[in-house]
Amino acid sequence: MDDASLCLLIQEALHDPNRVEALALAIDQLPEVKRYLGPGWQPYYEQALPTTQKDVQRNINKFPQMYKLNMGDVNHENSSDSAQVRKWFINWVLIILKRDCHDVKRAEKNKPKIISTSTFMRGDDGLTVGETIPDQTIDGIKRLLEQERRFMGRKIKRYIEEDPEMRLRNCHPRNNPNLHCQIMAQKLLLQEPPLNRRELAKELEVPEQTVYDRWKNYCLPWLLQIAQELECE
Amino acid sequence: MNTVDNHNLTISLTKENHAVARQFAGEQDTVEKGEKVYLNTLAVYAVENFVQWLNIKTDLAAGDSWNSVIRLFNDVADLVIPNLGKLECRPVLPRETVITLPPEVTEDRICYIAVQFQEELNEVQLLGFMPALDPEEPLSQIEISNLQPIENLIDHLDRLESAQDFLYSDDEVAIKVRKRLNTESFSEIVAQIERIVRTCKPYNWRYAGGDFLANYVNSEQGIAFRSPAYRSERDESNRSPNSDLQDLAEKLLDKLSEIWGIQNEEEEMIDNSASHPAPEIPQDFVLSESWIDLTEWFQNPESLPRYNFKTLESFLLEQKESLVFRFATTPRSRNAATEDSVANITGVQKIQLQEHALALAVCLQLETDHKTDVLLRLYPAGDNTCLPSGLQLIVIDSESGDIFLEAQARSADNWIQLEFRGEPGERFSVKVALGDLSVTDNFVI
Repeated sequence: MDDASLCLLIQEALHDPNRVEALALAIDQLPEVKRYLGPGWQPYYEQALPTTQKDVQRNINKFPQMYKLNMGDVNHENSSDSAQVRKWFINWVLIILKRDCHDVKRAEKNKPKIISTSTFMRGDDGLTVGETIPDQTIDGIKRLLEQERRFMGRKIKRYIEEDPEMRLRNCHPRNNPNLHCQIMAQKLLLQEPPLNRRELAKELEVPEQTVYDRWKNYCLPWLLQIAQELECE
Repeated sequence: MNTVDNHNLTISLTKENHAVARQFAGEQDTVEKGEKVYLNTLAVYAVENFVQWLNIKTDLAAGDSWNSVIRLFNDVADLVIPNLGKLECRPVLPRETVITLPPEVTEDRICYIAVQFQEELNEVQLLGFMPALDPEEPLSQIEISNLQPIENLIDHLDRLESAQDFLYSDDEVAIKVRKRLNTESFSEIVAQIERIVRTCKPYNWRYAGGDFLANYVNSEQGIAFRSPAYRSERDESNRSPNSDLQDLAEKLLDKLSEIWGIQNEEEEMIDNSASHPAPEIPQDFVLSESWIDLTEWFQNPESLPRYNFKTLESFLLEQKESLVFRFATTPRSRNAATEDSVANITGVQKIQLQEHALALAVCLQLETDHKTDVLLRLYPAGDNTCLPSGLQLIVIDSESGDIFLEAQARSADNWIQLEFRGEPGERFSVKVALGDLSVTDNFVI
C-alpha cells in the first residue's frame, strides 16, 4: 500500500468504523511493520497480530492525539505529508505490536500476565482517561507553592544535624559504629551535592552492599518515622 | 508540513496526578524546590502511564521520588519496575536541549527518560530514553539529540527482562554467577552488563565484564567488595580470582549476547562497525524527523539551538582545547570565490554514534540567483583527530528517498564533506552512518 492510500485510509478510519477494520487488516500488508519489528519479536508476530489489530481498531482516534497530528489538515496527495503520516502510524503500530508480542512471550514462559488495575489497559481508548487539568501552568505552580509550603525539609534537616535523642547515631552495625544513620543521612541527603551510595562506600571504606542495606533497611525507616513525628507536632 | 512538526509521543496528565504533585511540592522548603518536585512527580506519572500502557507493572511507592524524606533533599524522579529496576524520568523544560542528571540519579538506574513539559501542564511528551550509564564515569547531562526513540523502550526492557530470566535459570553459567556474586538484586548488574555489550567491543567484554563483576564478588572472607579501593587491594594480592571472574564474565556476556540476538563472531572483532548490537528499529527511522528550516537560519540565527545546532562561533569557543578545531574557520564552498554570495551562515551539531563523538557542520551560502550552496562537513569531536574508518556522510533526496551524494571516511581522514546547491523549498536528508548505526537530520532549503 502506498503512502497516499494509507494516509487516506487512516483519515477515513477516524470517522468510519468500516474503514478502521480495513486499516487494521492492512497492518499485515505493511512491509515496514515486520521489517522494523526486530528478530526478537518475530516469533510472536502471528499470535500477537490479531490483538494488535483489535487495539488499532478500538484506539485509532488516539493515534493523531499521541503524535499531535491534525489529520484533518493533512493532504494525502502531498507525498511528503503522507510519507510522514505513514512513518508515525507505523511507529505507533509497532509500540502496540511489541507490547502484544511481549505479552505472548510472557504467557509462553508461563509467567502470570500482569493485568493492570489502572484505566490504561488495552481495550480502553487511550493512555489516560482521568479528568485532565487544562489550566495548570508552570507559573501557576509557583504561585500555588507560595501559599502551601510546609518547610518539612528544614525541620528534618535540623533533626538530623542535632539528633537530640541519639536515635540516628545509635543506629549502626555492631562491628562498625562509624556507619551510623546520622552520618549516612548527612552524606546522602544533606551534603551539597549529595554523595551517592558508591561514593559513600568509598569514603567510609565499607562495601557498597553494606551501605545499601543499612540505608534501606534501617536509616530510611527511621527517617520516615521521624518525619511523621515532626509533621504531627 | 506544520501538521506533523511536533511528533513526539504525547501523554495526558490527570487532575489526580496534579493533586499528588501538589501535595509533594507543598512539603518543600522553597518554591524552587517545590516546583522541581512538582515536575518530577508529573514526569514519573507520565512515564508510569506509558509503561502501564505497555502492560508492564510498576511500583510507584517503591521509588525514591515517592519517599517523603528523600525527595526533600534529593532531586529524584524514579519509577520502579518490580524485579527490573528504576527508570529515571527527567523533566525537560521548554527550550531546554539537555536533561540534567544530579549525582543522586547517576547510579542504580536502568535508563533515563526525557519528559518534555510545555508551559501548560495538561500533557507532556516523551522525547526518548538513554539506557544505563557507566557509574564510574557519570554524566551530568544528556543531549536530547542523543536519546533513543521512546518507541524502542520496550525492546530495552525486554532485553533486561530476558537477562534476569537467564540469571535465575538453571543454566550452568547462571548458577555460577549467582554463587559468585553477593547481591540482593540483579537489576543493576543486568543493566550494566547490557551497557558493556552495547558500548564495548566484543574483545573488551571479558575485561570490562570482569572488572564490573568484581564489584559484586564475595571475597574468601565472605566480604562483599563493591568499592574500587577494595578491588585494587585484592587485585594486587591475588590475580587468579580476577582471571576467573573474566572467564565468568566472558561466558555470561556470550550467553546474554546470544539471548539478545547479537552476533559475536571472530571476524566482527576486527570490524568496528559490527561490534554494537543493531537497534531493532534503525535509529534513523525515528530520530530527527522534524524538518529543519534553513531559511530560518538566515533570518534568525538564534533559531539554531532549537534545531540542536550551534553557530560556528559558539561551537568553536567550546572546542578551543581541541586539536581538530584549533585552526578552524568557516568551511568555504569550492565555488565561493567565483560566486556572488548574499548571506552565509554555519550551524554545527554534535552527534554521538556510540563511542564516536562527531560534529556535523552545515555551511549555507545564499547566492544572488536565490539558490543556496550547501556544504556539509563532518569532523571528529572527541579525543580522536581522525574520523572512524568507514563512517559515511550521505545526502538523501527526500522526495524520492534515493541517495543523492555520499562520502566515506578512510583510515586517517580528519574530515569528509559533500557540497551541492538547492532551490528554495527543496528537501533533503543528511544521514551519518557507521555500520548499522545512523543518525538522520531532515532539512528544507
